[in-house]
Amino acid sequence: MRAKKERKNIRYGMVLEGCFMAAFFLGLMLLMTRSVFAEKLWNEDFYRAVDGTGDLSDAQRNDLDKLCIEFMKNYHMDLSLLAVSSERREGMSLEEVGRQYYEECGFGYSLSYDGFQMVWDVGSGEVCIVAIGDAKGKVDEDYLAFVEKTVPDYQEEYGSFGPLYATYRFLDNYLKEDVADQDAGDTGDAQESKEETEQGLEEETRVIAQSDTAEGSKETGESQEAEDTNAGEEELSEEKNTATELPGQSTAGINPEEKGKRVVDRAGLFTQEQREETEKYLLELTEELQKDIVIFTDTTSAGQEHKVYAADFYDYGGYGFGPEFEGVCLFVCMDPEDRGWWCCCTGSETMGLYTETIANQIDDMLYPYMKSGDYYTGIRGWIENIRRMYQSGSPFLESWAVEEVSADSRFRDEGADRVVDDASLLKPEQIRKLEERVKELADAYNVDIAIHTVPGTGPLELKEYADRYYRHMGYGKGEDYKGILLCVQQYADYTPHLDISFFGEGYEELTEEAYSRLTGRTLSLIREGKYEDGLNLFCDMTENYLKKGRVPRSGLSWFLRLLFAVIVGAIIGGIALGRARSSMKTPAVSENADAYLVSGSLSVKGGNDTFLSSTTSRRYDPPSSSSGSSSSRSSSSSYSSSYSGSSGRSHSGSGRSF
Amino acid sequence: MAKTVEYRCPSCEGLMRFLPGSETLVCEYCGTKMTVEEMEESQKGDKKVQLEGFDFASLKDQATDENAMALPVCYCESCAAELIADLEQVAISCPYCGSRVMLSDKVSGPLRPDGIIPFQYESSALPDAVKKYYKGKKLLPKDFFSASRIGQVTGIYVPFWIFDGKLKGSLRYKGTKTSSSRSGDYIETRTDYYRITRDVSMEFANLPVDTSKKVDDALMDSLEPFDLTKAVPFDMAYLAGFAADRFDTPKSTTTRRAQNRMTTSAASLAQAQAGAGYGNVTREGGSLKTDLKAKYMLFPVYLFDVKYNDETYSFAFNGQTGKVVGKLPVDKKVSRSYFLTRMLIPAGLIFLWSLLTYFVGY
Repeated sequence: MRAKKERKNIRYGMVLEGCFMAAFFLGLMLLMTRSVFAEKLWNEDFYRAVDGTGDLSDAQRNDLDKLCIEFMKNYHMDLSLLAVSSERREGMSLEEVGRQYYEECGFGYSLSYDGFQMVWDVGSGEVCIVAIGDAKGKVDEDYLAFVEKTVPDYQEEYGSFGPLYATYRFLDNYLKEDVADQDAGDTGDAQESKEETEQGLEEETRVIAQSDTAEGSKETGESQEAEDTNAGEEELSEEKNTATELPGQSTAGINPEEKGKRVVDRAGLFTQEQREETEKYLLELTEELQKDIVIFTDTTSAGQEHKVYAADFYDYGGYGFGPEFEGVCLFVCMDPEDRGWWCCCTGSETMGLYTETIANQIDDMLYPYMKSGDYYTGIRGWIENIRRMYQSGSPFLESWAVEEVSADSRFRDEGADRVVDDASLLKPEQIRKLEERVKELADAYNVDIAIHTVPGTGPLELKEYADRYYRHMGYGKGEDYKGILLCVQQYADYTPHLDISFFGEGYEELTEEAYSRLTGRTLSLIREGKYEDGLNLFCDMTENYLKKGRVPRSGLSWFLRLLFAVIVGAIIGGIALGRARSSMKTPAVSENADAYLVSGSLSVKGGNDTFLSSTTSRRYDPPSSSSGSSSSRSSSSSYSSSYSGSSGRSHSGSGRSF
Repeated sequence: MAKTVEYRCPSCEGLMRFLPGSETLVCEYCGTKMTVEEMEESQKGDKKVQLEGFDFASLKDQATDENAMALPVCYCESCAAELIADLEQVAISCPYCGSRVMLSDKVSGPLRPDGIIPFQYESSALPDAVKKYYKGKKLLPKDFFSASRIGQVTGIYVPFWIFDGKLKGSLRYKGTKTSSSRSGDYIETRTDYYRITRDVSMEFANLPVDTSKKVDDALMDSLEPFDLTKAVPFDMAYLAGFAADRFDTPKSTTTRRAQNRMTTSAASLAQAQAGAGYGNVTREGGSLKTDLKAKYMLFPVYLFDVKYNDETYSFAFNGQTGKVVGKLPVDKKVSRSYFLTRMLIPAGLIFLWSLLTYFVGY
């Protein structure tokens, strides 16, 4: 009996022990799981300190990031520091911005996402610290209010780094000293925390400066390699942060392998060689301009408007320079039912340059290439137009055309081309022949002669442009840079304009009549599209002028003058004959009695006039256009001065279908 | 027989004739001058010819029958020749002795003119006046001046009716008002049509209409104007030395002519005012009532022909104002060369100017 009881006791004991053991291991497992799981929820890939205004240096950002990670490790609460510009808030409160950002970045420690999110509006100076999860109550509300009020003051001395570091330091001081139970109204502790924060700021700033100096080359070298091997990836890490700040969702879809690329050719418009060459060129160009230029082609726009699709690609792809993400994106849609392009501009400087006039000019230049399928040439030309737009304010003007002209900068360049066809009006063989012709004339008469065609002269008058061009190319013979420059301005099929400028002294006086004959006859052939004939005629007339001092008249001109003289003579003769006939005064019966009207006796009094009927006729009379009419251009561009994509960011742009 | 009156010189019994430009008659033989009043006084009671038989009163209002049996017979006082006068003539020349014979009955009673404008020019003034008229006529044949000859000159008092008229009535016109506007690429033009009604009244005064069939109306109209302020009460003495005709155009014809001239003027003068503010004004209808008054007067005219190259050109000379009118020949060769010279000279100058400007660098 006793043995049975003892065996029963032993069994109970074993069960209990087993339960304890199980409970222990279970608890251990839970702890481990929780800590592991907790570790899995805590992601170090995202920077904890982000400055949307771009004021924070990389070293400062890295330093703050380390400090926040340390904070999280120490207190098992995440800490994120965010500086934003007032525009980026888009009407949301700082708390809303903070919570959204915190959630989208996946911050937080443990399953309840414990942590603090600090948001600082750089423009207004407001600071908001949001406590999330179990972080609520860890720091006194009044203390948080004190910190929110105090940290903006450090911006003046320490830049963006000041308020961000100060927030960390204040919280760290608080939690480190474990003053949670103290009265929040005790400003002595807050003051002490403030003093420590300021000391910490000075110390940290000095440390960062030293680390910058010491590690500058290393960090630079690393970053340079990163640029060489993975173009855009350094930007990518920053961009990834900024991209995830954006609300909404991209309609364009961003593929990982496309990130950072300046040429994303989903539609396959380029060959690989063309793509790589353009990519390389754009990277150099965007670095030089400090403005982003991106080419994006796709076979669809996913049912979206082209402008929205382009904007989303640009915004969510993380493109753009500076706080306003300056840059341009050309989106080409090759959907067979919706072919067209859209040029999306971002940033106030870019949007300010890309006016409707310039948009039409650039689109006019692009259209014939897109229409004919020569996409690569057209897009490369588009890139050059954008480059010129950034450099000189006009898509057709190089920077030299808008720079200040210095008298000392005059030079002669005998080797410069004398026939420069920037407007692509001539074939290479025609250019060669014209070059020979002008050289012959120049040698024979000791006068430099040059011909230049240009698509546009932007804000400059053609004559002023010609003057600058003449200097820029180093034309001219002799001390006074004697020469004649013919400048033809034409693009698309707008009405061409022409200017002939004479430089230097020693010419026979050219009257206005002769000058207009010189330009008029040349221009009439150019207007008909007979560019080579027109330019050859210019050479002939110039030769005659240099040889004889006169600009020749055409045979038609002489004939018309003779005809005019005969017609005027006939009119005069007819009038004279008529008057002579009437003076013969053949007697005739009088039909009226006007001479016998009694003066003042005529009375005509109005009655009621009766309306009878009305007729209306219409006559077709389209308003004349100075640019002339064209049948080969499509309709003019659609231009939008301001619109938003899915991100809400403001853009402008223009586009056209082809 | 018609009553004829001759004026004889009280000194030598020579024929007296009226001196143009004066109120006197002069004896062609002894040069004695007398005023018209003096001559009338001397003629009272000295009627040498008795009127026999022809009643002109019945001819007052209608054209006369040119039956020779009804033609009045009169006798020349100078040579007692029997003369037959046309019904319209009030003074004729005796074909035998050339004396002027005036038929006083034709200018008496109801047929007596209300006034007369005496001659101011002698026939001797004609050649100079005609030469002056030729001047400035650039299309005349070159030898016209030298080769032309003035034929017989007849100084004659031409009968005129002088009309005063009052016109009143209502005239209708059609007019339009247009407006244009642009609608896109089109210009729309709206035209409204209106009927315009106007009450019109006006007066004319002293409109002369010649009433002698023998005299060309075109010549008479071209001789206008005559200065009626210089008209004097009719007196037979003014007819001395000149021919004179009585009216032979029916009054209705003359009246109609006067009316037509007045209404033509009225329509055009009224249209200009009536259509103010309208475009394309055209006469649609309406009528004007005319109220005419007429006076019968004699106007002085010299009639003559100019002969050139077997052609005869009729001329007239206004005996009051000295105005000459007549149809002149137009030489085709002269016209052609006139036109060519006036065409080629300016044409040549214009082309020469083009050449000049070219060679100086223009």
